[in-house]
Amino acid sequence: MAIILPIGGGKGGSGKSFLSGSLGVLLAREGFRTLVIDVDLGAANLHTIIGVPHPRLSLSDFINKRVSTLTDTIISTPTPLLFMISGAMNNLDIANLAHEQKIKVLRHIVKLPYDYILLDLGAGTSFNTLDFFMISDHGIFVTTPEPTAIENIYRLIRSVYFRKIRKALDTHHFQNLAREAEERDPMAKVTNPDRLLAVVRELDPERGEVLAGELRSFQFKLIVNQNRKQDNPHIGAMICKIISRHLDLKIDFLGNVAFDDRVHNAVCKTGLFIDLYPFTQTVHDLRQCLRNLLLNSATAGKCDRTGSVNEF
Amino acid sequence: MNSEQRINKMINFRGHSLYEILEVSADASPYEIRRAYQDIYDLYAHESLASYSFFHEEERQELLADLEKAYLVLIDEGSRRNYDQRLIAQGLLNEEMCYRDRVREPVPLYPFTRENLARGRKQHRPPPIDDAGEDTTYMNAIEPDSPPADETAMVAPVAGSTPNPVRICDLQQKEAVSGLDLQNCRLQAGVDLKEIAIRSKIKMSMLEAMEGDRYDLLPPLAYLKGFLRIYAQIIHCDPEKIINGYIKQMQSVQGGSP
Repeated sequence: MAIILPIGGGKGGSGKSFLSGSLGVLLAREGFRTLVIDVDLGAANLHTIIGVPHPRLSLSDFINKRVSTLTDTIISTPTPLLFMISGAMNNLDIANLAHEQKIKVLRHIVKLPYDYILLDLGAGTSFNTLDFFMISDHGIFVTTPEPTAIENIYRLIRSVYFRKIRKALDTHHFQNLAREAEERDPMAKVTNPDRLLAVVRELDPERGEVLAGELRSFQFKLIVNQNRKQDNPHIGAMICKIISRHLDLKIDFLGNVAFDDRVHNAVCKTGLFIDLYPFTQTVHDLRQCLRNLLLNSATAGKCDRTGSVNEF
Repeated sequence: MNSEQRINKMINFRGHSLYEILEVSADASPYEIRRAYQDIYDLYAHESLASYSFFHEEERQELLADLEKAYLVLIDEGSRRNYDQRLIAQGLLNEEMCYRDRVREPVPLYPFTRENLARGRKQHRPPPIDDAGEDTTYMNAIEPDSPPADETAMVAPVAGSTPNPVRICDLQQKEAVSGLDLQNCRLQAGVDLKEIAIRSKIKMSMLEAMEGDRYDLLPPLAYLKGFLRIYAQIIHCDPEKIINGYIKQMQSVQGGSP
């Protein structure tokens, strides 16, 4: 079963597509069969970043039933072992994907035979974005060291986290338990996981353990992108600390990625930044992030419970 | 799904001990506490980028107030001891886990254990300081023939692992300390006057004057206190006792005038 990594960030322009593409290329070069999927449905860009300016097929071919399976929309890229599903030339109304279609896409994604599947998500906290986070326990959040991006990333992390808790309650038919908990202690809401868990444990220790296991299984990760020299390099670790202290959520900091003006050049040439400027701090940082990511998923166990997509 | 979008009502620090708030262990030194407070303050400060938009303004005020309270309680020796006592009474803290200011405890001089005695003494040096250093890490760090160690090394703390520290002379009963008493203590400790002169950088003549009760040759009180403190530290006596006792003796001899 593939490890699915949704990559999201609250703010546009924070480098989600750049990171998805670069991490995808690096993963493929490490020898993993990797698939990147552009699910930034209204504003797909990823194909340009990984060097496929004119993809023949895209996700909308599957949604509009021009091809029968999702596998048929997969195209190869200049990098061996790296494959992609493009979002280019989607129909203009695809940004507002119907729920059933989304579920269909998600179900097909989890069945794809790859080592890693990276989902390049759009900005914001719309349901389109949040639902793609529900597909796996993992999640990579991208921010820049600016108040605007940080504000949005907190919103996104909260939205994803609370939605995941709600889903966990639903899949185990804990809604009654959650309601009971809230009656006993009005503070014990989904938005206050710490308290909710404590009250649920009190009411029903066994199911409390199940819920605690669910909460622990989330493997969220943070990357601070476009880190300039004058920025505080510890900002990512500080964000993780705030989240773990106040949301009771473990989130790993994968690293800073240095800002580089030449990313712009690489995108304009529709070439890979990693190949055009291989000896820059930025590429070094990307490799470091990847190393941390692999280390992280190796130690965290491979219990990727992607099967739960069926219970949407 | 409105509640999902709404910023949740914050979990505050309630239910956490002050140590947990500052993320320090119960035996953290004041220095560590100050550092921890600075680090955590950076997270919650108004201008902090890391927690930008994470808290409402009231929440932030409340958290900062809690943080400051935790710091003020723990940084003050007296209030920290009271707080520790409360935790111990509630069974949340073990007595041994509390912080003790070990720097001020007298250093054990003769660890009379079999192995130390069996090991024998080195010939070329007066033994006490060297041997006392057997259980102390810092003493071993001083090279035998190095120039006089600086003052900080001499007052460095000792791990409180040795039970029953043997003290050379018990000054508990003595109210006043004369030069002769000093000399006796020093001889019991087996420390040569010359060694004190080298380590403390105090002139030989001054040390002799101190031991000989030649009050007319002694420097002003402030300097004298400093000299006595270093002297006491080298012979491993309680500096406060020696300073107070010596000055008392001096004043009684001089008839009350300093």
